[in-house]
Amino acid sequence: MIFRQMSDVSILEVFLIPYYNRQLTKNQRVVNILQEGCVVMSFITLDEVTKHYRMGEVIVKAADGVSFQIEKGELAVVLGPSGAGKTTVLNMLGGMDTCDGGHIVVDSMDISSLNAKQLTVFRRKDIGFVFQFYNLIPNLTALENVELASQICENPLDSAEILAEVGLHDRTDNFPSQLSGGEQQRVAIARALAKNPKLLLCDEPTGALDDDTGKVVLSLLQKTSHEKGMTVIIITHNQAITPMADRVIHIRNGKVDDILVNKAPVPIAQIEW
Amino acid sequence: MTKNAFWKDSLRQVRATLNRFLAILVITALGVAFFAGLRASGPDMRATASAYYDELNFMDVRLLSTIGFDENDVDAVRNTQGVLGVMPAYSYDAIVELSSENLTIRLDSLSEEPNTENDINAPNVVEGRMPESSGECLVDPHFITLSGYQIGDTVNLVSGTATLISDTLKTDAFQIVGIAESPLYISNERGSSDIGSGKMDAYVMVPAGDFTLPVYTEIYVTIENEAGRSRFEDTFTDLLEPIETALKDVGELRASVRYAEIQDEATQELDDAKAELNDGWAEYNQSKADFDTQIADAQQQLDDGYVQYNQGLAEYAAGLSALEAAKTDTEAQFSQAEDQLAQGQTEYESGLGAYNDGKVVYDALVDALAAGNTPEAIATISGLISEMQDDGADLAMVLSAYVDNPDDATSIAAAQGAVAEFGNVLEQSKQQLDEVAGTLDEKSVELEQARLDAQSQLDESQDQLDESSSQLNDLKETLDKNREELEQSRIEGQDGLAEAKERLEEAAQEIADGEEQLAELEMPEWYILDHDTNIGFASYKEDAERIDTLSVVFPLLFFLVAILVSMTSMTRLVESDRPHIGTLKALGYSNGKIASRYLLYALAASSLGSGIGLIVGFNLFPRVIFNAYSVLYNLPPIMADFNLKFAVISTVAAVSCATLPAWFICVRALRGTSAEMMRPAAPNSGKRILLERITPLWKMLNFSQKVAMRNLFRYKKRFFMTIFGVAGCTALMFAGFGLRDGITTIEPKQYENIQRYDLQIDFEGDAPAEEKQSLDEEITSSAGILSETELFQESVDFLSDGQLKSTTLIVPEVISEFSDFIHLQNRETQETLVLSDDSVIITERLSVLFDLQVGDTFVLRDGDGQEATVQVGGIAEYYLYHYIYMSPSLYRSSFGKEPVANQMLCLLRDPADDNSALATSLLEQSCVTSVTLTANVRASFENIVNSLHYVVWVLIISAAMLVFVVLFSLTTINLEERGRELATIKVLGFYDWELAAYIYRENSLLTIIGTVLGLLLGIVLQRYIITTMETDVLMFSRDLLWQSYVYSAGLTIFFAAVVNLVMFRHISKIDMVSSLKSIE
Repeated sequence: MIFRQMSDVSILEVFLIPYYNRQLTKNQRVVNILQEGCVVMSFITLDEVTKHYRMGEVIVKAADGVSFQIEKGELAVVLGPSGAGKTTVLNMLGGMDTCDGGHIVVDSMDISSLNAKQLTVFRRKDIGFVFQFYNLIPNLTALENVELASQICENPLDSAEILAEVGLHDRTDNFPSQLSGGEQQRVAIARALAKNPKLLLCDEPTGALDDDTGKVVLSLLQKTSHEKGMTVIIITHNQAITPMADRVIHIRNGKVDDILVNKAPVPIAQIEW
Repeated sequence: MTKNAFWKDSLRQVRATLNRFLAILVITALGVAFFAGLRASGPDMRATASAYYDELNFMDVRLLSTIGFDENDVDAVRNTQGVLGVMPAYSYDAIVELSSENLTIRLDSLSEEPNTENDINAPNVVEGRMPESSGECLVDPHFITLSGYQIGDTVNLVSGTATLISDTLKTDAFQIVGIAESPLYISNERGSSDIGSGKMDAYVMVPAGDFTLPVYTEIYVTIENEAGRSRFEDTFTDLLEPIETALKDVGELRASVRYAEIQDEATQELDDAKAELNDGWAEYNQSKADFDTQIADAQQQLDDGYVQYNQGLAEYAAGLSALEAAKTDTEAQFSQAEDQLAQGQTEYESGLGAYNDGKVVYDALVDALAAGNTPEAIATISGLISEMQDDGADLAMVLSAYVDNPDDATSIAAAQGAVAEFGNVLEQSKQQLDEVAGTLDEKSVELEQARLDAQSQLDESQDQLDESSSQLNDLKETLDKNREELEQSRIEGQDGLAEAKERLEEAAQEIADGEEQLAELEMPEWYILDHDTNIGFASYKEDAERIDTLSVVFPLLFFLVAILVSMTSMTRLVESDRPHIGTLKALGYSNGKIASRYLLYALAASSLGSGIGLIVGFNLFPRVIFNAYSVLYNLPPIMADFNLKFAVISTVAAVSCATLPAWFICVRALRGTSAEMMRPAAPNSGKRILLERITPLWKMLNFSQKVAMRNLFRYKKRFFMTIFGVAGCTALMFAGFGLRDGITTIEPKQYENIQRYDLQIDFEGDAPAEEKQSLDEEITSSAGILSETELFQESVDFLSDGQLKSTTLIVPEVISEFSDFIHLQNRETQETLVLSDDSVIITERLSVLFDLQVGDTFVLRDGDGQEATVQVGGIAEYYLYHYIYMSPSLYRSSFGKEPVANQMLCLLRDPADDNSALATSLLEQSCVTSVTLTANVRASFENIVNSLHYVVWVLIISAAMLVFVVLFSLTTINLEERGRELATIKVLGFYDWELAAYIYRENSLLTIIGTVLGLLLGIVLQRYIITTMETDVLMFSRDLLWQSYVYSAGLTIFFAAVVNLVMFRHISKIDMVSSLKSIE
């Protein structure tokens, strides 16, 4: 996919971008990625992203030069065993963590160069999170949990509608403790969607759920991606769900092992595991 | 994991959670320091004073008697069971006149047995030395301050009564050789005196030998106290009471003995005096008789002298007149003789003339005859013949015959014969004349001689007379002098006699009085006064007890809050460590071992904290409080002892409050399986709160507020913990400020609203009218005095329900103007109280002490022992001492006496200025006994208030520190407990400030609720402390200034804000990744 603004800029300018970049502030920096001699810009691009943790005297390379792209509207599954670094990648991608090296570009913004405040703005406007353990505020009802997110956005979607969309129109006034795991996760997805984000990041969304409930959640995510054109990234160690993805990124030992593009993803209901 | 690994893990946990460890440590230290330190303050104060008293051998009992004590009394006391030391002593109140004021001082005698057990109330010589000889003295440090005297100066004493100093003391001048503190006067209040202004200013200690009193005025006694019990302890009272009883018995016995002795002695003395009087009268009469005789003799002599004198005078007069007569006589004789002489002379001269004529004629005749009878001769002869008179008749005839016959020879012869005869005759007469002239000359000489003789005779007589005159004058002078002398001696003698008589009569009167006194002689009485009657001891004891009172409620609340927080912290620690506990359990550690890990943690934090708290508390609080009181008392530095009792109580409580929760939670947690523990705890189930059911109200809240409210009321433990913590601290601070209000607002209320006068003049009500008038004139003429009112005031006993209290009765002269000087009003209703003629107004503290309401009655007993029952007509706001106000007519009808004004209250033109010159000039009025400037009283009251101030500030600062630590701990715990929730919210994209606001909203609400509750609790606490700290004579104000609300609430909110600001850093640092990655 060609960088969408390419039509508006001349080749010269494109080649000059790196030089411009040196003179522009971080915020204004125009992202350029040159790949295979051609200016190609995906919706999400990770370029040689590294992240090192110091654990005592040992340096753990959680991400050791991760590079991949994800196009807008795709449902991508980042797959890998425990400790492969997939959550680290997700955290960096979601603006919860910073990378030590390389670039992360989301919708033409290089988030690897943002400061804490800018990252907050990024999370606030562009990212929706879904966690393994839902992370709902126990003291808020389902609706309120959604409202908590929507009240801080500029163009939020209607919380009640979103809840209805995730199939919880009759559970809006229930507290998380009154909801099943699947329902809680659906509230969490509703909360993420209510912000109308550019990107939905899901970290092991079915990790704490039984298979059937997990399927409900996954199909909700797939539906969201396909029907709303939402870019969804799901992190999982469960290889079985890969057929539902538009793109599968294998990560092993902090590196991208393989990237598969699935031209015809399978609806989740048809997947058995 | 080896055993070592387990301990290492435990140690690492401390390091990992150092903040929490320190929080527990600090809060325990604070709680323990405050509790143990404040609780130990009262005992430390007592211990310090007790040691001082022991060192100076402070008396346990002071004996007074209505007739003093003699040696036998002293021996009787010494032989009483349980008595250790006995010191008979003298005391005497005198005045020291300074240029600016008069000091009333008390002279106390020093022990005659220094450094023995009988050296009671030994002076603590601060400077100089002990008196070594008569006429030397030790003085009060106050005396030095007040008088400006130095060691080496001489103190001159003046009697404060009609009696002479010499009746009591050998000398009235004492040289200062040292400055010493006396254990009798540890308080700056020196007590009262019945001379001067009635207030004792200082004491002076002199050798007992300088007193000349026949009996001791007091006996100081110490008791056997082998166990070394403190005088402040009840056990000491147990020791003292039987001895007091025994002394009372001794007193009764000795009193009756002394009574008999005195009676005998007095009778004997009276008899002696009577005999002496009789002798006196006899002597008087004798002297009078002698005197009279002497005077009479002298008078006689004088009279004789005068007689003599008069005689002499008469003689002199006679002599003088005789002399005069003689003079006249002589003069007459002389003039006669002179006349005769003159006559003779005249005769002689005429004879001489005749002769001369005759001679002329003769000569002419001779010539004529010789010439012959020439005509001319004849004519001459004729002429001569005509000239010839008597003697010439014959001649003439002859001659005429011759003329007629000039030639006749006969005739011529005849004529010649006749002429010759005539010549002869002439010659004869000439001879006769010469004879006469000679005689005359002789006579004249004789006469002259006679005159001289007579004159010298007269002069002699005159001299004699003059001599006798001067003799007479001398005599007169002598006599006059004698007469004067006699008169003098008569007067003198009479005066002497009159005086002697007067003395005798006086003596007679004295004897009569003595007889009367003897007849009226009452049984002497002993007063057995223990140290509770010593003003220093009693007020110090009261102050220490006040600190005790203060240190019960205050530190308890403080401590409660502190241990509550440490409990919460510990609970939180264990709960957050559930997975770890699970792991350890899974590894096979025993429950006890796992629990011990947390117990040790709690134990280490709390016992370390307790240790620090004890060290700080035991040193800080007693010192600060004692230093505050050092303004009022002269005592050595405080002995800040380690108080085991409070150390144990506070440490045990603090340590168990940290460890027990850890234990219980551990045990509860350990009941489950390790797998359960390693799994996340089920989420707190959300619920609707009550507020949501009030839909309209709930709908008014915005989303954030709803969330905040839900969070607040859902987490009840945190809710109550925070509110209680904040409320407790606010209450402590408020009570501190409120206490300050209660104390400090007394001053303006008392001295501006109630006591409005600026100057109080006490004068003798029975002073002579002219003295009073002179005072009135001075008052009227003084420019500084605006107005004045007079009143009668008297010390009275107040009796009600069998209780007795000494108070002061005030009877204003003019009720209508009285309120300008003392404004009486009811505190609660603010209604002004006016004296009526059927009831009295009493001050509030009195009404509280005796539980009297308006309409109740009580009994008043005046100084003469006269009693009157009166009704309470009003209860007046009043903070210092007790007063009863009565109208003059009620006084008259109650006591049957006229209230004679003896006090004057004045309003000054410039009360704020220094009016001491005015006071000094008023004091010079002879009827004025004391002049008190309200400004001075107010200043000294301020001093007392200031010492309490310090204590209050200790409370306030401690409470403020507690607020800070409590808020810090609770906020930290809150953040930790909700880490996951906060991380989630942060992930959702909340800005830091939004996240902070999410937390702060709840914190602020909790702080505000806590503060409001704290204020309410504080009002109760303040009221409780105020009422328990009040003394008999001092009422604290019930007022709470708005500043106290503002300060205590403001400080709490300020600390909350500071804590929240500090926490902001924490909030912005919340690690989203780690919070979300795992379960907790």
